[in-house]
Amino acid sequence: MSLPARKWRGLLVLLLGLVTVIAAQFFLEVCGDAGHMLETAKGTLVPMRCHWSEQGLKGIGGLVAGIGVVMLLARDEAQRALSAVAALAGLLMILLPLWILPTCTMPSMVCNLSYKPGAILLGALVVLAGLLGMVRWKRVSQAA
Amino acid sequence: MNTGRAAGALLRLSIFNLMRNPGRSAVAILSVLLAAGMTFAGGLITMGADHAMDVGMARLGADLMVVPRGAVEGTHTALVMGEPVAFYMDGGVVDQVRAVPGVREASPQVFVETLASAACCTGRLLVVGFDPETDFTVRPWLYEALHRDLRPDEAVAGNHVTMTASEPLRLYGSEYTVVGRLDPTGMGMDETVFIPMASVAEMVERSRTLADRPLEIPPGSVSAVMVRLADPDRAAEVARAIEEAIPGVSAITAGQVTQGVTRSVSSLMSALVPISAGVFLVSLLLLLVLFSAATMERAREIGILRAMGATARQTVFAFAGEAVLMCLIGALLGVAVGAGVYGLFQDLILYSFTLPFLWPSLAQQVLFAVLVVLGAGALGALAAAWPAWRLARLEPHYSIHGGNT
Repeated sequence: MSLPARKWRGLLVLLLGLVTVIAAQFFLEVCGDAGHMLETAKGTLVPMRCHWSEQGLKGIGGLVAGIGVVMLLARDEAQRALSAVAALAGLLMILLPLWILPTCTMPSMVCNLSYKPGAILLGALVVLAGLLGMVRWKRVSQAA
Repeated sequence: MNTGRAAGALLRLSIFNLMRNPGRSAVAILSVLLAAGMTFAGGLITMGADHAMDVGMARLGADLMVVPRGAVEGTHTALVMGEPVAFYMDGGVVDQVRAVPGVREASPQVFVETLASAACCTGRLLVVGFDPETDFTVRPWLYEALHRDLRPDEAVAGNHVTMTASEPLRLYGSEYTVVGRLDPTGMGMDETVFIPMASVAEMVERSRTLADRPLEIPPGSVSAVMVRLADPDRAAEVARAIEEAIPGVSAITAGQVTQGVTRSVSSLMSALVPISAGVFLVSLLLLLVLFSAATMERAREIGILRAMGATARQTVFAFAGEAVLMCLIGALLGVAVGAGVYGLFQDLILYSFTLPFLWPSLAQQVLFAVLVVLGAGALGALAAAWPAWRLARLEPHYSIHGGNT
């Protein structure tokens, strides 16, 4: 496998990871961003669970970016495994708002309008990038 | 060579040519994907809004809605999106409306705007108190599904309200059990909770001691009067009569609500259609340029095909087939991506443009998808046929030698 091809895949994963972190930080909105908080029995306002889900997305986005950096530095033999890890991280991004740390129950809540679809879309792109990396690597190894 | 075998050979040739230049094919497929995806998503939104209006207005069952003057915009948003609103007028309006000629039935409703999150993560809700004696919106469904009226501590929820019977709904200190969920309408009713009007009065009383903030509704007041007419075709005329007879009210006809939704659809489409048309135009130009260049590059191949006995028409089919195949692949992917991305961001789009939406039937969706895919195929044929036809009409010898005889 040529060096540019390896770089291209690592760069793609790194870019998607960074886009995820930036989107979660600045563009995807959760209920807390719209001023909706939960009031405890003591009267304290605390964020709803979608806030923590978004924090988790930032963390996974950072992990994906990290995988991208490792892909840029790693040897050719490691590329397929790293692509698989990136695809799994993408799957986590999809499952996060759906199952792991689900968003609020009402479909009209801000988190369901913005954060949830955004996280699923970004997760799907990361899964696709990971799968693409695996398929290309297989083809190259067969040709070798 | 019989026709079937010839067509098979031409198709194989088209597939081979597609694979021969994957970069070029990918660019063309991507441009068609974008155009087809946007067209499909735009069409879905339009069809879904129409479908929701048909189902929602039929479920509402009212030809007119009488609300305080100045509350028309809020009512439209509440009707279409279920956005919580609260406005009140004197309850005596109901009898005045009934007295207007042409009115067959009139039933009052009281709107209650909930505080932020009734329980964890439920959001704000529009609660509608209806009069069980005169109602014709919720009651028909109640008798069909529950076979009885609601008790004072019971509620019926719209299809998108996620409360269940095991999870009481807390409103201003009062608890209600959700005993049923209405069928989806794609309109504001899906986000609304219905309780008897008498329960609203009790809620007001209890809120003074139980709620963080008491619920303030002037005694004997109503928010809206739902009206059924003897002749629905005279809606505009009766609406004018109501506004003239009763000071301080506005009468909204079903047609006005539909017009409002049409305006919202138009405002969305005014952004989507030019972009979609632009992408389509760029795709067409791109295909024209790509295939003009490809046919020139492959003039020799065309000449050999012709020398081997292929007719000019068969040669054109081989090249047009390549373009059609590329467009069909792009359009199929575009329909899938368009539906997927729209499905993900559906609620955001609908809330941003105040649009109702109910998925059209599967048959309608499939039919529209087929139309988009066939349209894209026709676009491909159009783009490739002309340059291929020009070359196929040349003498084979001339094509093989690239013009050097």
